[in-house]
Amino acid sequence: MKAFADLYAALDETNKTNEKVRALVRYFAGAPPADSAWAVYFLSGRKPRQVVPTRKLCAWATAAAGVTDWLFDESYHAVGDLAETIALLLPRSASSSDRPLHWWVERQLLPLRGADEAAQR
Amino acid sequence: VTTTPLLQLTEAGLYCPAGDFHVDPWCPVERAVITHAHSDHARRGSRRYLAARPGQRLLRTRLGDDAAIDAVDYGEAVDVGGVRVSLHPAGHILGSTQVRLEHRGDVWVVSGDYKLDRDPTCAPFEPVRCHTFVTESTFGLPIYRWPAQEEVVADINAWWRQNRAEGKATLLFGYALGKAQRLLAALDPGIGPIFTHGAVEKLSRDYRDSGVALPLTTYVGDVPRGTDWAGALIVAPPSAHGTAWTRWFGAASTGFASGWMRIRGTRRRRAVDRGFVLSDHADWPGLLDAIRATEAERVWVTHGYVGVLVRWLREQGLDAQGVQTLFEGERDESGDLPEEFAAETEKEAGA
Repeated sequence: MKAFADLYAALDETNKTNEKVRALVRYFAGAPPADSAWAVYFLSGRKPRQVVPTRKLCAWATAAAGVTDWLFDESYHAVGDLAETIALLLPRSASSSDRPLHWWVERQLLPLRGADEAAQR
Repeated sequence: VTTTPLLQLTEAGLYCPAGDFHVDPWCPVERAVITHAHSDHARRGSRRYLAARPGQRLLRTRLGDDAAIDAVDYGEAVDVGGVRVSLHPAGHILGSTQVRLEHRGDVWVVSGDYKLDRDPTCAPFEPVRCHTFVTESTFGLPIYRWPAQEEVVADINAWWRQNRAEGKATLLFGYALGKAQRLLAALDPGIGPIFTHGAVEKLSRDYRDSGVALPLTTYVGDVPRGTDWAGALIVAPPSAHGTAWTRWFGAASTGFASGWMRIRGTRRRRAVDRGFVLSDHADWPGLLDAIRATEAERVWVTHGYVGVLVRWLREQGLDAQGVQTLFEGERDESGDLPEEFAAETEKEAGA
């Protein structure tokens, strides 16, 4: 997952096509096939059907960040992207993980669809 | 407790009727107390100014040779029309100050712009107890939480080193007064030569004249044509970005150091390669900490996310109200100041 996050940052940090291509080549040369497949899936703009309702995500993020509903709304209005708003509001994580991209998608993200609320949370 | 408030908002800005003076007036007045030298706070044309001594050199550049400036040390109390006035470090830029007013036992503090983070180019913010605190709110949303500045500085150094390895110049944008000098003082001059835009060079000279140590810099205008800029760092104000001026440097990576870079969309709209979250203002936790530390019962909120901060403070049980100022300073996303003032700044600085 860290390698994919680095790739995304590299693509985001430059406006030059050659540098984007270089970053892609670097990533795909080193990534395991299962990760590469998901990387292509996400980078080509696709995303899995909603796994957790947005309304619940917002409510849980609001509680975890220790803010009020209206403060969450004001923040979202300023940022313009829900995932980024949540990422900016949540406390910085104290731990990190070296699990690969496909593990996060297949073992963590997708099983949340239809899971009970306690597990989703 | 007096019946008339110690400060009131007039068409010229915050006014103290008991002492007959203004704080950071927007137009010429008889007597002005100035919190810092940014052009939306220090306006020309008033008859007499009172300011903190460390910022005297900068204010002279801003206000002109004819301006009558009374400089006082931090913490030194003076009597202005019967009101006891003292200035206390705000940590925003060199010479930036909070203004403490005391009259018949009533104490007010006007924060000006401030930050709680350390800054090698100015005295650190000092909490001052008061009954009423007038605070800025530039970054008054909980999404604005600053990363540790050592990490940000390390990121900028690493980026500069990498650009050098790739044979590129490093073009770093930051507001010409304050941010540019903070960057110069913090970055590693061992990586490569450092050049400056004219506005940055002129204000950096004022910093050096005021006793602030900065690494060696060279004004780009003093460099012969045909110079190889690979590996060099060029520090310039945000308004220089996207202008023909930047083409001098050939292949360059661009970066912008500002609190606004916390939001991806803001960085993308600026079309810079890298955004570095480094601000001379308090973040959301910093604003709340600073307000708490004053122990004020009443808070006036200016400059920024006024409505948001007022509502939050009221929900915490404080008597808070918004004070709309003429200059909504750094609310503008394009730089550290609205473009017209940024442009004026560079004009003043002769670049």
